[in-house]
Amino acid sequence: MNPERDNEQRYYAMPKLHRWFAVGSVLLLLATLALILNDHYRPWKTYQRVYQQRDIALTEARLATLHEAIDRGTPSAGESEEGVEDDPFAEDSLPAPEAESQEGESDTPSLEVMRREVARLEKKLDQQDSRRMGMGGELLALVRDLPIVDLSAPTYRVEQIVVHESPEDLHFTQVPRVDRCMTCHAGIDNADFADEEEPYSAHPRLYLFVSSSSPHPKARFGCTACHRGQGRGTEFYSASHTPDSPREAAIWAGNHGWKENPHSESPMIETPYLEASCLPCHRDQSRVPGAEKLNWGLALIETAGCSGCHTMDHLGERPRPGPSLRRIAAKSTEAWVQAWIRNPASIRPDTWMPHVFAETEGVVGLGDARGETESAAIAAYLFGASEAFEFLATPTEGDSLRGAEAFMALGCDAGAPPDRPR
Amino acid sequence: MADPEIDMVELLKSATNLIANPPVLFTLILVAFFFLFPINNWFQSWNRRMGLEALWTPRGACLGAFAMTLFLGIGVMDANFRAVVMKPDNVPIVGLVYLVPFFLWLAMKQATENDRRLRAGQPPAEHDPDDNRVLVWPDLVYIELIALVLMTVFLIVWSLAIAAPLEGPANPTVSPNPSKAPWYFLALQEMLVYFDPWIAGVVLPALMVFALMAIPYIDNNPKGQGYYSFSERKMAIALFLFCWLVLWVLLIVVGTFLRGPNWNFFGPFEYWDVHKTVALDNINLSEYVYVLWMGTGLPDSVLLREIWGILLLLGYFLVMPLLLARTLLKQHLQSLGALRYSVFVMVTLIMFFLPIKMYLRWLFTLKYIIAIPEISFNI
Repeated sequence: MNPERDNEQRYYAMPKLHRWFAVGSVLLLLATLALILNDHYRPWKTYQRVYQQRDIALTEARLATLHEAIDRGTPSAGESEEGVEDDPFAEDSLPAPEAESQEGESDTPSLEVMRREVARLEKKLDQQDSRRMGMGGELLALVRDLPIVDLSAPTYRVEQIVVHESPEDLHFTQVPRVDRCMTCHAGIDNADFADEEEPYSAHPRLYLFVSSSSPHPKARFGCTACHRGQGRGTEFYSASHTPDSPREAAIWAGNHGWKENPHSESPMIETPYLEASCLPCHRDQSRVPGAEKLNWGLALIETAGCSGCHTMDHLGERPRPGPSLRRIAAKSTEAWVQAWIRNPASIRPDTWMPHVFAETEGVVGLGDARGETESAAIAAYLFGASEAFEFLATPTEGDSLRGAEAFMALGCDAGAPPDRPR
Repeated sequence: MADPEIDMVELLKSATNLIANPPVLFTLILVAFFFLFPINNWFQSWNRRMGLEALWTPRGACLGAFAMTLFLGIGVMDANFRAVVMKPDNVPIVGLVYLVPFFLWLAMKQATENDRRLRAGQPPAEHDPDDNRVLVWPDLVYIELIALVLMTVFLIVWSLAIAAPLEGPANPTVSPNPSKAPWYFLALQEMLVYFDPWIAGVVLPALMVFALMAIPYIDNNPKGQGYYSFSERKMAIALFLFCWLVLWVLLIVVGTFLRGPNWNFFGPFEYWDVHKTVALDNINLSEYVYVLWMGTGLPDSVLLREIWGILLLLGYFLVMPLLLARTLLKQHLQSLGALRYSVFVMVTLIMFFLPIKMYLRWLFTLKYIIAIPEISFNI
């Protein structure tokens, strides 16, 4: 560096560079803030906040009625229900059918039960409601959800269940199922939220699913094992929700920016087909209680004899639905069999026999000829291969004495006397 | 019937699809290239006569940027064009299509201005008679810092605006079609169309690195050091730009935007049809000679079969250097000396072998000049 050189003389005008630097720095600050806010804002936080508020409001309302009842000394009929419901099922509340059975037994819970219930609800509110925690608590509740600080112990966080029993299949490898659905569906196991709207509402069949006392507790089964969809997704789109109808799709597109996820390999099952999810586990049962649509379908498959042609594991060795044709010649004529094969419904409209040869017209441009020919060929084969039926020889003459004996012994005279025609 | 204006747009799209066809596109660029970047005095005189230097002025830049943006603006109205150009993976390449010409323009603008000064007997713009030095701090470091800050802002905004193009879980039984290399490898992938993998994937990339390293040792031209100038080092700049712009950047652009399913070519406004059929009727030189011309069938001896290709390649690599030394590159042989000249001319010949092979493929459906699959040796 040249010592004589004027240090203030620069290649670029410094004030200009300072201005550029200032503008750049402000922009960088704004961009960084935008980055943090973009990362911090998640729709599920809003859902969790609303759920908390509603939960607190519900609990407070119940507390108020309980206090009133205790003050009066006797609960009214309406409140008794509430007090009793909650007691035995402290966490997960009512299994629906059992709740009904209990209603009759206990009309008036004792004051002791009500006081215990009040204490429990108060404790719950103390943990839940930041307003009850004093100035410090309220401030803490505010701070713990701030950006960056929220990595330690935030109020609103992603809730998840890891299910090892029914892993996800990722092409030649399996990973545990991770379901974060309850991050938004926070009230899924809270029976008090049965009538709330989505995503706060409780599962409609808590006595069967989700609640810890049900046969399918969420801790063991998760959500996507039955519902499918992407359990790891915490946004409406990334969870791969599936609408039940085009109308619902349009509403979702408007409200949640829903669009079909082309990369999702197991989108959520539409509600009408939901019971199909029972089958993988309940495949050995002939009837799955509670899955009436599934049962109906299974019965239909069996009745229709689908397994006659299509392999179905669960129907493996069942007898065929159709009659044996080994000795067909003994009981029918070839013309009738051909007409029956050709179009069974024309002979018996309610038959289960499939119309394999009735609708060939126009299919290959042969008109009726193909169905006619094929059904005739089958009939010819059946009669050609049919075995003769050997009838047992009938006795040539009867013995009226033994006949009368048998008539009386079998009780034939109980209905109508032999001398009077029916 | 239809609006004549819309018909015009459709016509332009069809014309663009036609021009994007590799033989047409490549020929157009090849013809224009050495007039734009004159490799010798003859080209330079034509360059002046056509006034092509006007491209390297602010007005030329505005015109070029306007034309590109107009094309892009009209193009994105077409669904097929939009699907390729707006794909998150391809957005950076759209940026590259703007950035590379911009920096090219910036350098060429300063070079042509200096050329004009040099012609008028003036020193180049960078000349500093007082030997004023520019300090690293703050002059250099400060603007570097500012550039860093602004670039960070840009990257953050970009990452917020365009979501990462994530797809479903990886599935080893499903290959994407087209399977594309990362964008910076697309030129190599394009070479694989014309050459055997061991040439396109091993020999040519190694030679590129070798040639880039050799440049400072080959180029002993003292002019143009410390200042921008084109006319003082025409051949060096023109050859380098040919490699960089045509054989690298253009191939990346082609690989990104014009290569669709099954690595077939698709015009920018063409639908990427998986079922587009392209005849695979490429045949080897030996088959041309023995089957098509002599009608005798391939001889059993490998050497006899491939002798024509071997002679052709020997001719290209042995006769061409001597021929060029007596004609086009006479001065260069004198100024470089025998060793430098041989390295230079070999590297250049290998470089031009790529476009030559491309033309042989397009014009004659020639697969390989020498094909000895017995030892996996195909050129």
